[in-house]
Amino acid sequence: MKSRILTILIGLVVPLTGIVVLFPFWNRVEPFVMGFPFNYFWLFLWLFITSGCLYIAFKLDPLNEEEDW
Amino acid sequence: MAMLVFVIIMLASLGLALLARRGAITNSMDDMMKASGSFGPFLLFFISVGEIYTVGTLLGAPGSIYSKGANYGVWFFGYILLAYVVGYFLNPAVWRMGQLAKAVTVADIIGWRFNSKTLQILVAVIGIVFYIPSIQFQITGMGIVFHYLDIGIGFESAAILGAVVAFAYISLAGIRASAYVSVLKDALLIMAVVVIGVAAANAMPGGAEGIFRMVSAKMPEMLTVTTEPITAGATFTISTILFQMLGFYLSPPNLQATMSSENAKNLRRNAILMPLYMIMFPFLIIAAYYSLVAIPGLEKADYALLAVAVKLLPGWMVGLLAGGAALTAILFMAVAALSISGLFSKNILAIVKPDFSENQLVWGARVMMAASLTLGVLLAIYSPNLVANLLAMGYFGFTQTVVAIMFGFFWKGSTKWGIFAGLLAGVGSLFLMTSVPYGLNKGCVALVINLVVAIIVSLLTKQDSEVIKRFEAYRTTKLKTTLVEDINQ
Repeated sequence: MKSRILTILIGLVVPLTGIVVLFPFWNRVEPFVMGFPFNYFWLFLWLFITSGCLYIAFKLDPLNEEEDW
Repeated sequence: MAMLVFVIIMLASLGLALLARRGAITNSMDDMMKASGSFGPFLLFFISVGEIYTVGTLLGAPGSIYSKGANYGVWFFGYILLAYVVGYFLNPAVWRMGQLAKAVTVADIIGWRFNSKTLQILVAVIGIVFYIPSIQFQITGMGIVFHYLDIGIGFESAAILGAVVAFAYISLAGIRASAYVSVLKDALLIMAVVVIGVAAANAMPGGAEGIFRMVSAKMPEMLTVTTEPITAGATFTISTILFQMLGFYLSPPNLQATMSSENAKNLRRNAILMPLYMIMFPFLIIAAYYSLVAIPGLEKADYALLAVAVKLLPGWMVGLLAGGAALTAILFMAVAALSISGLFSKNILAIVKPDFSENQLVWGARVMMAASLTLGVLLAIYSPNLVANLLAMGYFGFTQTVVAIMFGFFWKGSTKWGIFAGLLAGVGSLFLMTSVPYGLNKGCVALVINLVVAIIVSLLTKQDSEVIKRFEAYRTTKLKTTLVEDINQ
């Protein structure tokens, strides 16, 4: 299940997509979600998603096994 | 009351620095600069976050939201979050190359990889010159805090006190002291920021949503990122986010933090936690927008967070905030001065005077540290307005090293001439650029220039076999055992 490509996809590409690529989509104020304007809500949401992505990437990362140090 | 709390905090921090001294080796560059690579996950986390929650964050983020709204709020949040993502991949690689190069600073790494002392010196100079403004920035920030909170310390005294304490931390235990004190500082900051955010939400009918609704009604442009091609619009925001996320972990202090890690795996683990630490930001943002609607017409945007604190918090809490803010500034100054002094001592002094002993190098570093702190204090007292532009330039400047690092990792064909030319072109263009196409971030444009020049010159020049050997060594060694044999051939 370990794969460096997957690690990069999930750890790097997904967060980049969510924040940079999708920017035109989330650059708005309405609708308000959980009390925040949509743009800020999106960012706060991605705070957690990114952490999750990095966690998954960590688990999938073959470099963690291969390295002796 | 606030003054008393503040003094207690400062004394506690010095106590922690003393504690850090156990286990420190005082006359080793390696130990001073990176604690001999002994930081486990706990200390690694705290030294890392020390570079993120600076006075700039505390004052600058709410302050900039106060004056520019979401244009600033969004990119600030976005780039730091993405920087962690980059860090997950970048830091272990930098660490590994650092081990191979037996490096103590970033100039060590780049100089080793490209086998060039000149390059080493250039990188060191870039790091030093472009990072000194950040020391001054912290002092100025500290001064703003004390001035506004009015707890009884004048600006000059605060500046000098801060510099002295920063010097004390490093003299006592190098980067270890910073890591220990960082634990205290983060505890204080989290508490203060969360309380301010909650207080702001409570103070407005409708809570946090109420605050944003009111902003939306009165000044809606503060909530969106403009998409016309003007300086603070969308192209600027995106290009800045992309640029800054690359440069984040390449700032001298962040590099020192990376190198202090025990192993690469901990750096990856650290990356997972870092986004979660940003949970402080929602509270900061709530407080910032609250200040927009509840405290309009502030003399200086930087006062935004402090104004909210003074308006809503009891005196002793304000003291805690002052203490936390001061520690933040001092810690940052300490590690900034440390990294500058390391670059000076190891990558300039040691080359110019190769017969210097380890002991002498450490003393050289201490002198440089005192000098850069003093310079920071003088700049802060006598020409603080110079700062804002210098700071941005600073970031643009040392982020140029990302080309050297990336090519170092990935491109066998890159030569020292290419990197050298690229660096000069990139840094030079920063000074010569008077207008930017499409409102792009200036540093980003300089980076592209750097990249192009580096590629062209590298393709045109030959490299020596040593450099190729080192590239191969980096690509193939994951195991410590192989490494030792390979390099010692």
